[in-house]
Amino acid sequence: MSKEQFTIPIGPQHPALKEPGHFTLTVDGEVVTGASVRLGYAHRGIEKAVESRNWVQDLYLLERICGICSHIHATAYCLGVEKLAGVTAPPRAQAIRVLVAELERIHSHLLWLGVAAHQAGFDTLFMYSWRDRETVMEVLEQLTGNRVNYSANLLGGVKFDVDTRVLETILSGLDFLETRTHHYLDIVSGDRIFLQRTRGIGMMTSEQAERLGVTGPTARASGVRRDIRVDAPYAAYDRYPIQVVVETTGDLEARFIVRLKELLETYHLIRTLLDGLPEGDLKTRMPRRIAAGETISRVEAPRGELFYFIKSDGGDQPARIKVRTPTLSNMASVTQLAVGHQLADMPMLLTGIDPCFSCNDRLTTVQTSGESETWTWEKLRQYGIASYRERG
Amino acid sequence: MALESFAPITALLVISFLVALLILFISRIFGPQRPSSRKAAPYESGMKPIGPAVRRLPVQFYLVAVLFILFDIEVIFFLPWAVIFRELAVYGLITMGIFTLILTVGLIYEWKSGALEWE
Amino acid sequence: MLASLFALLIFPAGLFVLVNGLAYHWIDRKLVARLQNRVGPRWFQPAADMVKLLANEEVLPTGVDARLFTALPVVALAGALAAMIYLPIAGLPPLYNFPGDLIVAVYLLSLLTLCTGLAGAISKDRFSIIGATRALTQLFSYEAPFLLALLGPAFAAGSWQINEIMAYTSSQWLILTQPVGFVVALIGLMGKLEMAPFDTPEAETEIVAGAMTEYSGRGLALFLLGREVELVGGLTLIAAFYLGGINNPFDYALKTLVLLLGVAGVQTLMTRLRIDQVVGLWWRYGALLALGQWLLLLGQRMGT
Repeated sequence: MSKEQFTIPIGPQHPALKEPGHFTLTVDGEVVTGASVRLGYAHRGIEKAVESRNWVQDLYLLERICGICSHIHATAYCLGVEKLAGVTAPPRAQAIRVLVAELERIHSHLLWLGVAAHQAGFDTLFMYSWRDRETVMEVLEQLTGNRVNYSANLLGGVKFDVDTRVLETILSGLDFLETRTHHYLDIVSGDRIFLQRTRGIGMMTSEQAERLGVTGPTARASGVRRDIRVDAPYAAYDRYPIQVVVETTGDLEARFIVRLKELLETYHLIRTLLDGLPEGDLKTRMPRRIAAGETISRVEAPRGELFYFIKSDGGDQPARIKVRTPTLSNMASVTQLAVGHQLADMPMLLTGIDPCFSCNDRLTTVQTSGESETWTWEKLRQYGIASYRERG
Repeated sequence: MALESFAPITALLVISFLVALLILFISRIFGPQRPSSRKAAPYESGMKPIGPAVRRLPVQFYLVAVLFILFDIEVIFFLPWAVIFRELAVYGLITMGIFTLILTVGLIYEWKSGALEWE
Repeated sequence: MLASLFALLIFPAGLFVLVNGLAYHWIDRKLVARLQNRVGPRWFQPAADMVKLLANEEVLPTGVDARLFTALPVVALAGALAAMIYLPIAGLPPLYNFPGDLIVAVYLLSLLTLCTGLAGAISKDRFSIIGATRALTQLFSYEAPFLLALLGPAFAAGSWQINEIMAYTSSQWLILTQPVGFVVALIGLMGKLEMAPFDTPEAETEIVAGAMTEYSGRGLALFLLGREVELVGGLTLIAAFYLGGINNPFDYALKTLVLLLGVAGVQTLMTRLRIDQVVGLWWRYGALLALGQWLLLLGQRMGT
């Protein structure tokens, strides 16, 4: 019997997607037999734009790559540029970077929990987790003055100090969030109807995870022990070690549990960090021109490994910055895992990797002739216009 | 049962139709009418429509439908029987018992043969 | 003549049912919102939604049968409204009755789902077609157990006439003697109304709006109104049969609102089921439980 080929387009405008992306699913009845992905709807040309701004301006531009994990982009960039310039930020600054990064992880994971629950049609969990997310949003607002783009980083340091009043807010917020996280952990591992939608769905073995190159919580849920905070400690993570949370089952349930257990680990880390916050300056002097050279910078974003390549030709503007976000690494796993699952599981499978489309959308051209070619802003702009016109 | 007992429901059906049509009519007069081909195109998540949406139904859906028809008929047979089952007494009980049994065996057979598993 | 026309058009059937439906829809939304720790909509929100939808332009998608596309929502609403004259709306005795009106009422209440399924099937839209398949599959799953659950009280009363059954149930609360039937009926009603754990046919994050995807403006408004009317009708029927009958307006409000609270609770507690889980739930547990209840009743009746 031949398999029926009924194609379902999901995206770019679809309620399951909070950002534009396009998935083409072929289904046989309710079972998915094939899946492909098309990205690039939220391409903004940021990598090109940073080349025509100076090092300080780029910090703020790169922070806007992602609306959720904005701080980690700025951190990766700062660490890279500081390495190029041969400058080290003072210990207190490094600790505050870690503090904001971990608060951001709480914010991101709780947001993800809500979105994933919504995809499964469990709106109560969605509403409650987002209510609790407000706690950490308010902490971040009190600490940095902003709810999403915190602008905590400076080249060579940080902008904000932690005073005693904020300290109390953070600690009381953490206590509240800790009880809530235990509660959510009970739900995702105990609610029988919810488990029907997560247990055994989207199984990814650790071999598959290695082969598909997934990172972050998605990989750790499949038994791959990989966390940049431990493997290659940056900022102050060498002083505040964490336990890597690993689950071996590799299904959606494991992805829920890994993220929630990571939250508990994060609360612990923040508490020890605030206990022994080193004294000292918040920033050191940075040169306006960065010495020529190139470097890479790797950090653990809430979604996985975030990679920056930074090249300077000695001027006050970068020569090239290349960003690879965790979503791009994880995206391949979605199309692989989709096959054989029910159509109803697709939104959850996609959300399982915590996708962030505007983070990962980049332009790539493959040159077959072997010659290199430099794209100007104008060319990029014209290409965008032509491409959208063609899409209709 | 006389045919007149359907008179009120017929009247109400007619009235309901008229009310619904009135709603349609009023909003057709006052509502905006600016059709365009893009607007009328079927929703495909913002992509250009990819061919006709014709779908062959998988067999599981038919199995559920057949199961439903069987049970619906069973229930409909229950109706008149349940009102007069005292008059029919033991005879009625035994015949209905056999009838129910046959259908229940059918349900169990379908269950066991895996018609309710969707893989 | 004038009095019966008033009864059919304004109160208790007709306009009153529509207003009642909008109010209950609001209460349901508000309860769900409060249970989810949200503020919820203001009291006129469902009515405002209706006005807005009716004022919208209706888009007729390419490739559909225009007459059928327009007629289906009308039939759906008319069917749901017509069922109301046999029900004790607002605590008043049913407007009309004849022996066997329960069967007519129950099948009129199914008309909405059938129209939804048909509306999805005639749309040339992928999401509508999947939604229609799911809606009909769900109908085939819950309908037989739901019918059995409503026949339990009828059987106990020995009649298929709603007001005679009510005369019987007023003296005793059948929820105590037939708890399984009550649960199956209430869950079946939630399936009929495509409420939260059974909203598979219109699962927003999978198939957008299911069978309703291509409907906008008036058509959508009529379908939503039909669903609200059916909410009122279904709650009334279950309250009348299982919760000791409906004898006066106060009884009506109290009992249907208690049921609505229960429905809202179930809505907030559960994750959406997949269509195969819905079918499995109903045919494995629903059908067998309803049949078991039925056999138990039979034994009881034979014993007396």
